[in-house]
Amino acid sequence: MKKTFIQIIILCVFLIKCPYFLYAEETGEMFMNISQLVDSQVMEEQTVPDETTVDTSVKISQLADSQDTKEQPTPDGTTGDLDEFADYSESDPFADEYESDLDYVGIPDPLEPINRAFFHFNDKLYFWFLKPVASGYKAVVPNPVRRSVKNFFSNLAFPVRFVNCILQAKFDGAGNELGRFLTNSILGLGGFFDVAEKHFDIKAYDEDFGQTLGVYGLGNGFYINWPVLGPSTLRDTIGDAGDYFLDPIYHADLETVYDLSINGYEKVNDTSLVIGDYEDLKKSALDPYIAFRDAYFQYRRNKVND
Amino acid sequence: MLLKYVKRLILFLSVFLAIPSFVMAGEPTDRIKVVSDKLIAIVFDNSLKTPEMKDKREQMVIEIVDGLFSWEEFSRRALARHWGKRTENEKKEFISLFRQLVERTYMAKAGQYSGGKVVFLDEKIEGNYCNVSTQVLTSTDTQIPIDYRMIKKDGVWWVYDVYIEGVSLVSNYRTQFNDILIKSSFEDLLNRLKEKIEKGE
Repeated sequence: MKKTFIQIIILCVFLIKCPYFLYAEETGEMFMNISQLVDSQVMEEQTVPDETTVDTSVKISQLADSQDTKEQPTPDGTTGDLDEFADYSESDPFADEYESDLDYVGIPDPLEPINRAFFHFNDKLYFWFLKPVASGYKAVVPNPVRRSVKNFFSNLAFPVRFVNCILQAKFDGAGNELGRFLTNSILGLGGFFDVAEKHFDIKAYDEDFGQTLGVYGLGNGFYINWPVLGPSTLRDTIGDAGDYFLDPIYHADLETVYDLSINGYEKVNDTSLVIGDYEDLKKSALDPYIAFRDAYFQYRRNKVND
Repeated sequence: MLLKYVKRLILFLSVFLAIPSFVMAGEPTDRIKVVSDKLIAIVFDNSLKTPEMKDKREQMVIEIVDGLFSWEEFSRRALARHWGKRTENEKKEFISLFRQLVERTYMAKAGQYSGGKVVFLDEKIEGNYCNVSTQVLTSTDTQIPIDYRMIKKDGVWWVYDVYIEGVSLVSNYRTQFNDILIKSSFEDLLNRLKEKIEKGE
């Protein structure tokens, strides 16, 4: 039942979206270029050399001088603030391509209205259900036990990380993961204790199939905020579906009820360790939906590139 | 999943509040260390722990952090291409509001922080820019990489962005501000900032 369901989803996604997401990276850039072009044209039309433009370009030229960049802002100031920003981001050696490309807002989000609705749904799910349950659980179960449970599930998901390390040709990572799995399963009493990290300093390699696809050059596609599961993209959704087949819980061939209970318990346990984090990020954000979308995008981009 | 990916943005301040161990210490790292020492002194100062002193303590933390963070650089980068179009007064108002937003939500948390270890991993200086990499080990044994981007102005290093697990604070705000500015106006952005600061949540 479950298998066929997932197979159907994957098939549908591939059939419908294959031409799109295979070239998502390229088309994305193409759109960017067009929008930049349009934007710069609009800029040129709009620019009136008023006091503020002159002021800032003087300031920027001082800035640029002090950093001895070769690029000088145009003295007539007609190119406006596009140049101004280009100047300082070029002089910043740590600025990445996304920072200097200001029209780049992260990730295409054609489903924004639906995503926002699900974001709202997940928010309520957290405050009305997940948080109270996790808080109650936290009150009863001591911290070390909850951490051990987390270690246990993490150890169980070893095949996902191991296979994806190999798929990405990260053989030292695969070695680390294998070492960790053996050490923690035997000395860590079935994975409850992370002996490998603590005593042998073997670091985990958090690789998944979404990252593997990213490493192979597959674009993000677009942003999807799933109900219950939360932020993802088209690529990462396919990745999660792929990883599901490497999950021992799936191969245990349990009845759906038990399968869901195990996943639910893992979620509650994980949440109990991070209560307050979601609230904090929400509190700091002007638009929490956008804040989470962008954080997800940046986080995953970093993971793919590591 | 929601929580898995966006953990502990709050933690960036904790780097100041734990006993740091230095692998190497250049000028920028020293700047962070000085601030960190001052903050530790406040956190462990029992005379400041009474409820009446809560405001004063928060004020002290904010003042110290203001001495390390360049809010103008933060604001300029967060507004990006919208920055140049603003008048001097608008810029000033924005800087002040943005500073308050970040401080209210993050700095106020400083008082609650306890435990954790920080390792200074690396310091890369290129011209007037610098990246200080640190790693925070939380009380729940999670390792979180936190990077500080700094810029040298008049011989002094200032923090202008913080990266937590590869997520840039400034970029995160830029995406939000950009979305608001495209859909409505700068006035609306200021109003929403004010509203958020007043509401405090």
